[in-house]
Amino acid sequence: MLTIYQNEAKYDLLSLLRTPGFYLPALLFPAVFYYFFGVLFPYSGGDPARVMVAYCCFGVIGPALFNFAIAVAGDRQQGWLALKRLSPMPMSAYMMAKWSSSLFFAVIILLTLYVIGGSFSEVTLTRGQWLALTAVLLLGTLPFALLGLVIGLFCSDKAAPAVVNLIYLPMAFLAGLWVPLSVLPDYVQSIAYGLPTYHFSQLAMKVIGQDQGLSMGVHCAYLVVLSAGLAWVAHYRFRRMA
Amino acid sequence: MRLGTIVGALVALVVIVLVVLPTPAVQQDNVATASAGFVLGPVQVFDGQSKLDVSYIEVRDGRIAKLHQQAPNTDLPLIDGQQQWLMPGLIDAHVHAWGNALEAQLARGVTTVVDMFGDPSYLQVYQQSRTRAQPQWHADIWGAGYLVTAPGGHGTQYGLSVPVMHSVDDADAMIQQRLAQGADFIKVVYTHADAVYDHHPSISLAQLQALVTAAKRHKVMIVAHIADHQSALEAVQAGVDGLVHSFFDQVVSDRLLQELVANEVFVIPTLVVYEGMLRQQVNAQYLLQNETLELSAHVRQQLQSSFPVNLPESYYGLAQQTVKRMYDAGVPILVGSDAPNPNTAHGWSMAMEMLLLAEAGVPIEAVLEGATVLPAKHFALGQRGRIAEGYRADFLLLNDDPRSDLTTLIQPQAIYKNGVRYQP
Repeated sequence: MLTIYQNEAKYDLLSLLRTPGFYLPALLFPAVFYYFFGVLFPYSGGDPARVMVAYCCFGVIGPALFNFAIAVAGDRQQGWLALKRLSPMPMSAYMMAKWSSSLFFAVIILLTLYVIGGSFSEVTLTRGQWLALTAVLLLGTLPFALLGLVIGLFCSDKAAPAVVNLIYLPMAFLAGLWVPLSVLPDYVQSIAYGLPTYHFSQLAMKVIGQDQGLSMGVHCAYLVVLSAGLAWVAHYRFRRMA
Repeated sequence: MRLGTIVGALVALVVIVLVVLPTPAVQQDNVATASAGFVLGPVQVFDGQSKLDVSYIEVRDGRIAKLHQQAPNTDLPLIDGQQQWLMPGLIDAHVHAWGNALEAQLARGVTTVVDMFGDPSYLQVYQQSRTRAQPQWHADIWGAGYLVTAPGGHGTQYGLSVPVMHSVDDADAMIQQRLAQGADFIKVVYTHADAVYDHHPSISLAQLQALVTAAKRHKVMIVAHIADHQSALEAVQAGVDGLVHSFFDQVVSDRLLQELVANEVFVIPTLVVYEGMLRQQVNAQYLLQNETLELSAHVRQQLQSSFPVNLPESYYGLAQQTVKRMYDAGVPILVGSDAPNPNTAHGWSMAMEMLLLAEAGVPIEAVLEGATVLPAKHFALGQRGRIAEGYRADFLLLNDDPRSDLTTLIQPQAIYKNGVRYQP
């Protein structure tokens, strides 16, 4: 049984590793973006650690959203998904495989941003903080993976990248990942409360003690409820497709 | 198996990077040994108000044990003072501290700060260490915790969920709540009802008066954030103990001066923030263009930023005249930088504020007093802010007499906190 999960994960990752068109932009974009706007020209200001964590949040959401949305939409349109569902492989293996490969890329993105922050931006965190930050950032990609899945299940393979960008970029901006919320107009703060990117990034900010002070329970509850909701939508859509 | 190799390599990479990533400097090792005590001299001692007739300072257990004219005969090691100038560690009377602010302050010779609004949990953490005189790598902090403001008022825009004041009846509860959260004093934000400039909503004058009454009942000091002359006048008449800003909409009137003096109110002008709004010279002149200073990119950027206001530079002259008139009338002038607001950076801006006060016409001796003795007195900080027996061994070694040249404070030769030399 475990072998099915392993194999599926292996081949999903291999197929991505053979697609430089996916992984090069996915890896380079957050790094270059952070280096330019977080390190070289930090116009938005703020503590270097805060800036790094914000870009890390932005960076790890990317592969989760894109890998799911685009790959699932493609698999679905080309009939690959139908074939997989007919095979004895449990669909959870398909999901776990996709999530583990997006985590694979998320880890590389995190390490790159950590190294940039540590080398060029004077970010110092305790060993425990580095570890906790990594754990929070990786686990926290789950709701975004599910969001990507839902997009992939509803959109065509041509529409999926556009839809993801349309959701990903504003959601990152309005949650204060590029420019701190404190310098944005007040109504942005009220929008932020509704966004998963906000609650995700607040959890990460808690690790470095720079969150806005809402309780951890609120953020976790939001993300858990959202994940459950998205999982239900995905499940419903699968059933309908059958 | 290839997957195994890939995953193994990734895990190894994670471990390596996590081990190599920078962590905060470990403090305990190099400070623990130095804490037993020492004699430092010969030095020239300026105690915050005047030069003392002593040359050697004996430090034991983080405190100044004794002052000597001659090198004493003790079992303690003698540190060569090389006739440098020794003065009390500086006290920044207006900061907003979080993250590594307290270490950044200490690194520039500020050994105690007064926080004018911040997360009470941060204050609580550091309140524990300030009563001990143990080796530590950060400035001590006194603070207001959350400020008192109106719904949507100044202070609510920074993302901290500040409990706000809705009506006059809240006054006692507000004070009690702040005290329960560890506030050392109360800070209130007030703008008078007819203010024409763009400002956040403010509590009413009646609410301010109720707060002052409640604060007096609880025997706790209350200071006010104001940004214009009329609000300052009303706050002083309401009975606040201090103003934590000056203003630049007009020169201080005789009436306000009389009220300040009669009510024994102190003022923390925070000129450096206004200078950033109106003139922007001091940072460039003393910090940004000084290549011997190691300014991080972050500090540099803070010192170059300013509030997005477009006001004529002539207003800055009004702010300067106000400070001068207040000083001449006998109002205690305390040095506070309001770091890390635009145009300021923790630690660095203390000397800038002192230079600006001197430029405005406050005598250097009075500026130095306002950075040491006066804040310790008005905020009841205990035995600090002075070089005297029994006082905390927080002091600086300087190249020159600070009374002849304040710029010597930009780069102290050595900084001692609780009797241990700060080494970054």
